[in-house]
Amino acid sequence: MAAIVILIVGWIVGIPLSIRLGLAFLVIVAGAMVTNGSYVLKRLATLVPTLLLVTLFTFFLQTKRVTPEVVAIRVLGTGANADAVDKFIVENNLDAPFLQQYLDWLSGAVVGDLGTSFVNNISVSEQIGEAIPISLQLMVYAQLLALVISVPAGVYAAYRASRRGDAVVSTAALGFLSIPNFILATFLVYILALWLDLLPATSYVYLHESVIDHFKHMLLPSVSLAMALSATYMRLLRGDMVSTLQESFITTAKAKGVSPAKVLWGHALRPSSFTLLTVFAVNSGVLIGGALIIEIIFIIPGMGNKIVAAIVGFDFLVLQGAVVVLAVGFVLLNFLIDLLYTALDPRIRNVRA
Amino acid sequence: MGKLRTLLALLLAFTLVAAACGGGSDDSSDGGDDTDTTENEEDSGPATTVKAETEETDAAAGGPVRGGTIVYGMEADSANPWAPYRVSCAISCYTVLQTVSDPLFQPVESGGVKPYLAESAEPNADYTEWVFTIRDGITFHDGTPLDGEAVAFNINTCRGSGLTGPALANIGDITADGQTVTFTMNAPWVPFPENLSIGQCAFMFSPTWLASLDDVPFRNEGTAFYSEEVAATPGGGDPAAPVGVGAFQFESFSPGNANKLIATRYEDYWRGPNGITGEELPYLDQVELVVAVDIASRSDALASGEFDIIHTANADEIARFTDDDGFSTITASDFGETSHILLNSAQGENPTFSAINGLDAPAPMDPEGSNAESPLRFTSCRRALAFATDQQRIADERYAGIVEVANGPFPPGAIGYLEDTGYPTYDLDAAAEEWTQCKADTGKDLIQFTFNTTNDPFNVETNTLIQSMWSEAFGDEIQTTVTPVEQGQYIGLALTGTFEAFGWRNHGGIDPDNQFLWWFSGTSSPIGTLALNFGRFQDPIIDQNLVAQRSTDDPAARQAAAEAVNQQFGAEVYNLWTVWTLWGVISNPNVQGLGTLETPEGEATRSIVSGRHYLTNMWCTEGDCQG
Repeated sequence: MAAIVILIVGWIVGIPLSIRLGLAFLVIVAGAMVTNGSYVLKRLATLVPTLLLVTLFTFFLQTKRVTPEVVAIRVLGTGANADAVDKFIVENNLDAPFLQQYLDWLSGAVVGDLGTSFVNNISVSEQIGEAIPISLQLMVYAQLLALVISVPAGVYAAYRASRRGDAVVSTAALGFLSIPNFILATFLVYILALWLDLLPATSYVYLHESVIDHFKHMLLPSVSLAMALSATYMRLLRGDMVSTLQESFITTAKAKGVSPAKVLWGHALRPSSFTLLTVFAVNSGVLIGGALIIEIIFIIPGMGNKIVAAIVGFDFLVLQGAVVVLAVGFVLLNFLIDLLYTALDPRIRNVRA
Repeated sequence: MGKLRTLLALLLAFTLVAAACGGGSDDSSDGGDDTDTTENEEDSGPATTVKAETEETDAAAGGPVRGGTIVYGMEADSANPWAPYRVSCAISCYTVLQTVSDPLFQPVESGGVKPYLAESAEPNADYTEWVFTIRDGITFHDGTPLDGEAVAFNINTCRGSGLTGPALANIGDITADGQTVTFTMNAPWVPFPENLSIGQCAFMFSPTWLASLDDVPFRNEGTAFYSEEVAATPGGGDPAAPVGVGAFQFESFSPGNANKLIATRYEDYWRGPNGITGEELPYLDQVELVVAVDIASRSDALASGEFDIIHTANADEIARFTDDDGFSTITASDFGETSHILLNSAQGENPTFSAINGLDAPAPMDPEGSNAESPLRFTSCRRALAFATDQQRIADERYAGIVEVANGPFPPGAIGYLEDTGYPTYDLDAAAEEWTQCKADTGKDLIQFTFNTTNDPFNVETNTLIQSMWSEAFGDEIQTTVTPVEQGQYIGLALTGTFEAFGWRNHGGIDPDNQFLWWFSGTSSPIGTLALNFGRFQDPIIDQNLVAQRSTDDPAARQAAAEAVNQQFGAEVYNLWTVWTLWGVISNPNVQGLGTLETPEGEATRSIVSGRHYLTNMWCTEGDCQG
């Protein structure tokens, strides 16, 4: 709750998103430390080597991809002469040994300096700081939409298990699982934007510019990302809930005359949601891949477009910075989900302790 | 209601079909390719100009009115924005430069160039000196006056840059006095103003802003352009916040796809009510230049009203909008780039390169022998391939039949264009004849070489089509492999001569002199070193005529020299020409004034240049650009 308060109050008073997220994370970790300190410390200890490996691997892939000369020519243009190429290589430390380049970058990164793009000379942190809230919005909208669709559908399908209602919902879910999100996006754009003219086909509007236009522009991208997610969530929830509904405590509840709705939503949903929660967390990372394509299709200036531009333009530092931020986010998100387990289910806390 | 019912039916059908065909995999395994199919070829040429084949818009809704914001979908981001001496400039970059600044000269419909920011340009008798007089009373967006000193400062930043310096290497010295600036050349340079009309260094920016940039060449100690005075001033200027002299004043910029540059009307624009001409320009309040790399998304954005105007070289999209009465489409192919297959003919020694670079002995062009087995060193083999290439089929099957096949590097309307250049056209009998000679010259019965392209699917498919034509012509006597190469590597390989045949696009320009750097023997350096003459050919006839067209002011002689170059390409087939690139500028019907810019003296300019154009005189019906 304190973390949510930080996020909301920070937003109102204009604290940058990265600081808000950092503070919220610290509050959550502190809370978890109080209840289960040794577990939290163990998990935190695994974060550092994970992040080192991810960044080292990314750096290796980039620097070994092409020669420094090719990078220089790509950035400067084909008309650049040899002097300009040499100058560029020296100025950007591209001629240094791989490990030295990595350590130079790492020494800056640990104090928050992700460097400056040598393609556009703009701070990497600044560029990522502009892009990541947009991608986060897209992913949050998609996840929320997926949950809004999947939870009622999953509960309903479990309640009507092996009957016609279950079959209809499950078939629809299979259909949406089978449609790649970029195909669905193209289809939705064609139908809803170009043909029926109900929604804009592309582009992004900032929330502060117009709330209505913002959501109008984000609806199709969010739906494109959400449909397959919702199908996954629905199937998982249905499966777990069908099992839960066989449990003796459910039978007891029914015997006591508890209404079906209360049995489903009050008693069965919570113990059926662990798998959903895990996949929800994992999908938050997976969504980055999907958002990358969706951002390009819908011309949204988020992390996906930033990463693609950095790969195409050999903008090493931007790509490296983006990977680090995403990797940290992914690892921390999973870490938080683990902590959430302990809050949701005391049995897990006790086993791990 | 009918549409909704159909929509529901479609959705249901779509879902069922997908359920039947698909598995249960997660959507994260997308392998879709959303990249532009035609526009990822490297734009590696210098500044280019095209003459618009104007299909006039039929939306002449009254006269120009002030107001409105135009949203422009551009095809790419630009590296190292926006100072001319450092920016890697292709069409989108030029769209920005033309928005926030103006050039010294403008190419005009009547031929050649006319002074624009300059008032006049006077050469001496042998064209080794040019004196430009700059229009008085023009100010940059920061209030700095545009005078001779400012022009000299701009051109010197370009001369001192490793990127733009080579194109201006013929300038020996620049001096300024008041509104005049004098250029002293190392050798006669007749089409010098042509080189300051469309290239990135033609556009003037505030010397105050340029001097504030950390990497301005004047700060490079130990170089010829080092200036203690500039070096002593504080740096830290933002190169991504340009201060030009154009119709629109920079407001904000975020790099990358889906981001944009915003510029607003400059109230003291020299062609505006407060300017020296007292005209009404510009009409628009604001322009937003949005990068949208994916052509399908860019088109969709235009179709749905998110963008008001876009540019593209994608023939399918041009064809799509040309057939749509709801949009205005202007196409331009003259003076544009030529798509071609670059052939590596490096062999022997290059005395011209050695002389220019002060080497004691002629430089061997292939020191490691990496090209020694290539059949493309032989004219007979190159000609055989040209005879076997059905260019019309390429135009029809790969470019929706709306482009013209190319017979040389100069499209119709360009100086040097010829209806018949002597370039081999599709003729299987002639191909067989040359093939026999090719086998004799190489001493081989099996002709093998690599024929690569970028990893863009469109380019790979085009190469594969051409490969199939050669196989049809020569059967199992030819063996070519098409290997997609990552674009960044691709450019590096071309520059260092590490290739045999490469798909390419280049050589746009309003004047044959624009090609000097790409074809002169002096820019053909040995394999393994950087060369702008990628194919590394050395041709004394081409050299002689490149120098001739640069040195004479006789239009007939210049035309003859350019034609001779064209014919020599036709005879020797240093490149296999395919088609002349067609650019389309597509807008909604409310967007007016495209391609109609005139000089202050009323001369029509060539306003559409390889898809780029000025927004200076554009307006929107009733000030509403969204329609």
